[in-house]
Amino acid sequence: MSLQVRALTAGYWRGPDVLRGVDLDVGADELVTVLGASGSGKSTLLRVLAGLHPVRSGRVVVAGHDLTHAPPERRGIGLVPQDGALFGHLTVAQNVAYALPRVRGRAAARRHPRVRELLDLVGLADLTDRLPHELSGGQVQRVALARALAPRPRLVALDEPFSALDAALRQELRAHVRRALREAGTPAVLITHDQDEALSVSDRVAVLRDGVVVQSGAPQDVYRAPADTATAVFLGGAVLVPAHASGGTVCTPVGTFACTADGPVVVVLRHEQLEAAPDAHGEGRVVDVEYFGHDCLVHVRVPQGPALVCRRAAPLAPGTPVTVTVRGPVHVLPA
Amino acid sequence: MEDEVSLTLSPAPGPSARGRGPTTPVIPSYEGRPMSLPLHTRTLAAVGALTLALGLSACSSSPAAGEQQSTATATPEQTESATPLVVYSGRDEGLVAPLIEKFEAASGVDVEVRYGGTTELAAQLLEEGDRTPAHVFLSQDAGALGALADAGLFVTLPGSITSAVAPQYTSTDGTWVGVTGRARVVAYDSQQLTADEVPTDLAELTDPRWRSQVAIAPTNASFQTFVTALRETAGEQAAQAWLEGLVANDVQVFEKNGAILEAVDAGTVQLGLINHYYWAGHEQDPTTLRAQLAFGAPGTVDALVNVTGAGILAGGTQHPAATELLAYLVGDEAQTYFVEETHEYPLVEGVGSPAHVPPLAELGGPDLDLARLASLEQTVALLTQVGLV
Amino acid sequence: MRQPWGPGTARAPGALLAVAAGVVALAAVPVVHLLLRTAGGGVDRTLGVLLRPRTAEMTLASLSVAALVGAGSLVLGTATAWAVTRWRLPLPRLWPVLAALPLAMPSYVLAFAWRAVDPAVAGMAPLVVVLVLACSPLVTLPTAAALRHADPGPAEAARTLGAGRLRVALTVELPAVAPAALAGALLAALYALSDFGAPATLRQPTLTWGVRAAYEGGLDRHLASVLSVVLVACGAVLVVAERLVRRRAGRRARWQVRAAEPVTVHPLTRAAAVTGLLVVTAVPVVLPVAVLVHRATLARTRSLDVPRVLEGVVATLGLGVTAAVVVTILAYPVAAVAARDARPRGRHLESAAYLSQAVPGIVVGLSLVSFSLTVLPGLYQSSAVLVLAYVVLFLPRAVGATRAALARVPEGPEQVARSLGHGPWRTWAGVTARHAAPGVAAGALLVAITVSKELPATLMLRPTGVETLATSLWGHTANAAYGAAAPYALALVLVAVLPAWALTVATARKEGVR
Repeated sequence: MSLQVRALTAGYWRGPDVLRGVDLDVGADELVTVLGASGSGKSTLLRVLAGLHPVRSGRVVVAGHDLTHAPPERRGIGLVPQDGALFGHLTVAQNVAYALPRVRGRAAARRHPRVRELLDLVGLADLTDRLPHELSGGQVQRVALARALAPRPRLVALDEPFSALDAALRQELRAHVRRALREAGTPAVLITHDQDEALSVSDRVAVLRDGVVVQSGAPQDVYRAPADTATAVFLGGAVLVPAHASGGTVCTPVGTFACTADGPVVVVLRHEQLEAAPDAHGEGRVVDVEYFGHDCLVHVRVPQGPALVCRRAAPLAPGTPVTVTVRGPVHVLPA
Repeated sequence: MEDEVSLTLSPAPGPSARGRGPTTPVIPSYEGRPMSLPLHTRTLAAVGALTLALGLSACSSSPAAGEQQSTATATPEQTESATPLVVYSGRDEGLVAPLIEKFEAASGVDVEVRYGGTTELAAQLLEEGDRTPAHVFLSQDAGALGALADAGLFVTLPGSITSAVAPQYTSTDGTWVGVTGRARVVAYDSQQLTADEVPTDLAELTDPRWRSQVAIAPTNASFQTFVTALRETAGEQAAQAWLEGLVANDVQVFEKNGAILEAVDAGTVQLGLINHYYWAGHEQDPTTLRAQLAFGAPGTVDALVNVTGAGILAGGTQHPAATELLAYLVGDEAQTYFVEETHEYPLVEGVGSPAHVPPLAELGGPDLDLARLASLEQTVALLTQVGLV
Repeated sequence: MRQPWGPGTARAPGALLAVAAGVVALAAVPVVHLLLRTAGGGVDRTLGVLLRPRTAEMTLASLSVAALVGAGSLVLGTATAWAVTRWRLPLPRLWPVLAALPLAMPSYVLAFAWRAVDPAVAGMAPLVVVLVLACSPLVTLPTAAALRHADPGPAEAARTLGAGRLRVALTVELPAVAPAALAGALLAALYALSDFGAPATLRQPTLTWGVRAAYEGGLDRHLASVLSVVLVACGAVLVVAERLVRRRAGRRARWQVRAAEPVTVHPLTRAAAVTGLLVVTAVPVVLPVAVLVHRATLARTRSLDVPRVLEGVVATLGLGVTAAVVVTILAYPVAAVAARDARPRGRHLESAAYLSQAVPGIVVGLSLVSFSLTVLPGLYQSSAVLVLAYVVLFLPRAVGATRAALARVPEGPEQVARSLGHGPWRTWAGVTARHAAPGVAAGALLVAITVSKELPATLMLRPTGVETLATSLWGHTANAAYGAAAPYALALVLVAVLPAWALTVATARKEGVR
């Protein structure tokens, strides 16, 4: 186990606890994403891991060493900050070589085998002598990653590494980072508030809310079976239908489903599970359409029941009568 | 159940418009300044307004030397329309200002004095030429007076003024009149030297024994006149050699004679070339000072007696009170003032002699026509060449 | 009058540009006149002066003082800034405020106080010490601001990469603020080069001293002119260098919302830091004042002429305020063009105004004496020429302050006001002027105070009968009459030093140095 965090609490200068008992595990070769909204404490968690913020209680154990109170320079935890935080007066090669012993000067940095290896890894081998202000956003992040990997850390912590970039670049960079970390064989913790990122890039997702990890697991598990409604909504578009379950089933205006729970429940319906088919005799009416190019979200009003948001390939004109059906298994949460 | 609010709680709509995340953290702290001025700026504004009022009131009235005293003793004859008498004084304000005030009180004339170095003011007068606003020039030494006279900047003075002073202490052509006499002396540190050890012949000052221990004021007119006298009596070569010797001997340069005296008195240097009255007129009883005077051997240039003097400028406007001022300066009242207050030698008979120093007749200055001291320009060129200026 | 143009247009109207160019041309008058006069003296004579050993000696001395003071201020200022911003010290709000204090004290008062205690003090070493103490806030203030607002990200990243605190400080944090510190050091070097009062009091021959000596003790003004040209040339090099470095500092600057936390240090280190800070900041001001008060009380009643001192105060304040008003009004067009004009000429105009910083006070005085006599004889020896000298000397400062104030005026309210139908004048009065007023007023007050302390130009250009506190003090210092000089020095401290300090603190607070 590369990283073990147990019952971690931390806060700011006599203020209340921001992290209120966080438990987290990261295995060797794993990329775990801590997903949380702004204010959930994920930045604090990362800073605590890196040693830049003091711990109030709990433990941080990395590769068997208890590093709870160790200073940052002795933790062996690499940090990739949100804006890269490159050293503005050093070249790319010098930045990467910072943690390597006895590398002085641009030429030495450029020639160092580890530097070249890492720059190849992130695909920036021809930018050795550039200065940080001459790099694009994506390039800055990649250099920051190479720099963090240079001293072969036990763990790499990435702070919302893609948030400052535009969408196309983000995709590309995610792939780069994933591949680089895999090839380097270094476990990583990534924090983000973007659920796309969390789901696409990580081996496991830990959802952080109000200073505690409310759910942790593989992306598909967390997506399909969220632990509570807030998590469900946070991880992707959902329609929440309150209903009453009894006798193994639950009745909703869009259908009846099997259910193991009893009593008041909330049925979680993902947008992609709701199919809106044009039907002259359908009870639903399209009230709004959001078109995204590759697909669209259709808002449907049904006579009895909630407003439904259905994902479909082609848009429908508002007012079209539709029938909404549910595809695939639904997840039911106690209310 | 049909409540919409709790249901369609999808996050940012659509996959292509997912949350952008926090903006780049470049937020200067001073954006969004409030419209009203903060408290400390208001205080500043109040202070500023106050000083503005004060300043404007100051600008509207023009302060002049001696005026604040004369308002108390304004005589009825003081006319409103009289333009002030402008005097350029190479003599120190501390020495001359009280006398000027007395003149103002006695004559009712408004006097404005511009103080500066004698050489500086002489240069300024030369540059100003006909456009000079000055009426009278008070000089610290004869050399500058001679130089200006040679340049034709003075008017010829009435005989009543020039004859009041002994002829060897005034101009030969009547362009300027001597007012007081001053002896060139050597101030020495009496704690480190006895009177016998002090060299009487200033040529000895280039000896390595006096390395860094001699103080002079080469920008001061008195020293410059002394160098002129040296050039005239001993020749150009000798004067240049002496100056170069002083420079090689690390001579200490001061701006004014008063500072030299203080330095000798503090023991910073052992010898200083000054005029006698700085010592004689010291606040403390001069005989108790650490610095004592040694007069030059009579008959040599080291015992040079220089004179201060005054002339009336020919250029610009003429002021009727200019002659009055000069007459006052060679009158008994002013001469007595010079003896008692500034401790200089009077140049008129029957006024007495300053205390603690030998009388004028005994000093034995060299037989030198003061008119020959007019070659001030060459002296300055020499000093520049040697590197003292 | 100047015509403010509408927001959103990036080009200044021709009238404003013409006025701004006229102001800059006015500021260039002394230098141009000086060069013409020197050239008029003949090539042989000029070369003769340039090549004599004394000139070389004085040039070397001036350059040495500038270099030593620049280096000394860099070291001292950076260390002070570091201690003030990065270490947890007792009374944390006190130190940034104290750090600005020595800047308010004129160097010649400091030198004078030292000489009052030890009459033998003279030469290069005491001069460097005095100037370093007086000028190091020029490095401390911008470096502290840069440190306080530096992005803590790289430093934190460096620590995760295994670097200890010392290595991080040396390899990451200090290089990040190096341009700001360097710009400050160049400014300190420029001040040291141009200073007249301290070298003259401490009897160290430098070019400024040489110019005064030539003027005072010689009949040949040409010598003074040539020396002045040498001085201006050296100053110009420093000004250009400072501008380039400061531009780089501005480019690199990124203001962060989160600042680095101060670090707790060992109690011994803390005690040493506090002592050091007190010596560097409070001693240069408190000690001279104490010495002066002591001397003033020792002086006999005859020396203490209170009406004369008050007269000096009034004259000083009057000149200061007049100069501040004139300078600020003249600076406004230049600053407006520089702040708003998108094309490079705005910057060029400001740079041209900035270059007059290379001309020391003594040279401005020398040049304007001759200029007013030959070209404007009606104004000869009038306050108008003296105010003109102040304009030349302090225009860059006023332009800088006004431009900064104008640059901070948000364009949003202006555009809204125009879209609501307010004309350009009304927008200017209601929005622009109101936002910029505090900054402009602060700049004007600072000019007033600095004018009060000015010495060499005032010595040469003051009208007959007018004595400011600085010139009276100077007259008595030259006579080594410390007792008589002390009241003037004290009055100068009250009139100029304390307000200058208060203003620098207020301005620094605005810039974000807490």
